[in-house]
Amino acid sequence: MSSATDYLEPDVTAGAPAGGRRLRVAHLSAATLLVLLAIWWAVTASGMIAPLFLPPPAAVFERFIAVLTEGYVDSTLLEHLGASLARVFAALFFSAAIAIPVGFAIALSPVGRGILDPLLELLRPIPPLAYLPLVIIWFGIGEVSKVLVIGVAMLAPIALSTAAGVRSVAPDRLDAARSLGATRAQLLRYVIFPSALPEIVTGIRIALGAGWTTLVAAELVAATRGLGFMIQSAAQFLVTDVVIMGILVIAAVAFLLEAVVRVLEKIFVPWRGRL
Amino acid sequence: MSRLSLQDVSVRYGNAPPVIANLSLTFGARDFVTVLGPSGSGKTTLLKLAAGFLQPTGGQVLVNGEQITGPGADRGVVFQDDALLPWFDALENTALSLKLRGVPAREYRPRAQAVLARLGLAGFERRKIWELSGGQRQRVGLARALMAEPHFLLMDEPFGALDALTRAQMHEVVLDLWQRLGPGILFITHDVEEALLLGTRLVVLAARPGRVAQEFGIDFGTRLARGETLRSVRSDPAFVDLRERVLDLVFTREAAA
Repeated sequence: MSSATDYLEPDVTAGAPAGGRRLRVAHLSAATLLVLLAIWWAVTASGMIAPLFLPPPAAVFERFIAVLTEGYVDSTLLEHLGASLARVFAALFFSAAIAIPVGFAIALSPVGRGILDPLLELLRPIPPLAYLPLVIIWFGIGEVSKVLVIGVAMLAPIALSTAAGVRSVAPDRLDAARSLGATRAQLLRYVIFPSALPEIVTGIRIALGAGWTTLVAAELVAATRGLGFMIQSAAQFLVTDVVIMGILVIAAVAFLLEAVVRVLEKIFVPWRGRL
Repeated sequence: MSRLSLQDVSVRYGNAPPVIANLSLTFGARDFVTVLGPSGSGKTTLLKLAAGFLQPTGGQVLVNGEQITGPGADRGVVFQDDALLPWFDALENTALSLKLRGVPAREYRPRAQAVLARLGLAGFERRKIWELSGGQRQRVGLARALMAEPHFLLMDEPFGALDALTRAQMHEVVLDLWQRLGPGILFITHDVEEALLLGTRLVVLAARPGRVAQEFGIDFGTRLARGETLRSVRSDPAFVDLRERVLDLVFTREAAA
């Protein structure tokens, strides 16, 4: 199936003729980042802004190496990163375990849609910082609250994507399987679930982004480790280079997670966009 | 002998005018019925009724005298846009009916391989669906339907999207398997030549509501299957004459509708 994006963005879809343009786009992106870095360096080197507000790139990089090897607030950068990733993936696991069945229920049953759709629509627009206090009152300041705050932010994207995926199943494929004797359970397993899989993966990709964004909020309270915690501790003592370094690491990890999911997508959903 | 019979069937949605009204059509094993009609004549609806995907709002659909309640393995369906499952390769798609029945892979593999080979797809077993051409996909769709050993083969404009040459090849494939296996075939098409070249019976539908306008007994497909060339059949005055009559019938109906 050739989708509209083939025509609109020939550079992001695989294909030999688009190769040249794809390369140029990559060059442009790299150049943009370099220019940004140069402006940052120039502004700090000229003394226009005090290092307290914006430390020079070199200082941030030195801090990156120092935190990587010696650590900051009792943990190294990798330990902070590990703590944050563990929370995000624990949240993803529980969230997917709930949201994928919820998505199926919304798409397949009017009763399911009637009950679950309004709940999701209520939950979706609430910013995590708004329900964080309530979560702490209910579940305390332990690890559970942190995972919960991240997990709640992931529910809606996964459930809604799953529901969209289930609804997009081709009626002919269902009819074909039925005419070959498929039971309801077999339809789910052989036709509906694989049909929905590309959308489910998209939901997980969006959820990872949403969860990662929620991380700093989740680590606001009583954490002793984590990238969000590290940034906040640094901010309290005006250690701006750690704050900026932490922000850059969060951005880089988000970018890497996205890339990893795209690779997984190619492996597990190779038919995506092809039929 | 198996018989599939639509008796006085009607289909209507709500208060809208019926899509199909009081249509009757019966065919059995070895019958090759091609169905031709203008748009709005309910061709696809007719096929869905026979397949059991759709229940008529009036009348009955019977297989061997028993009313059907849904799709069944006795009626194989070949779809317009193949409806293959891209998460399976060509062989697994072919063997789907056996997989669904819990037949183990070591048993269904050789059987599916044999069917694919008969349809000219030896060596393509492990191909992904998107690596196959349109004609090859329709062969896999046909192989998948045949694996269930159906008494009837219901085909919904299966070759409409293929180029002329591939389509001619597919006609040979279908005529060949019809000769060898002898299922009753219901073949929906909007192509007059295709309808004439394949069937033993040609049913022309009228539109709004869908109903049988006229039926013709034909033997061009049988002659092709016996080895007469396509050119000789198509230049036969009887073929030319009938083609013009059918074209008239379809187009005047289409213009009037």
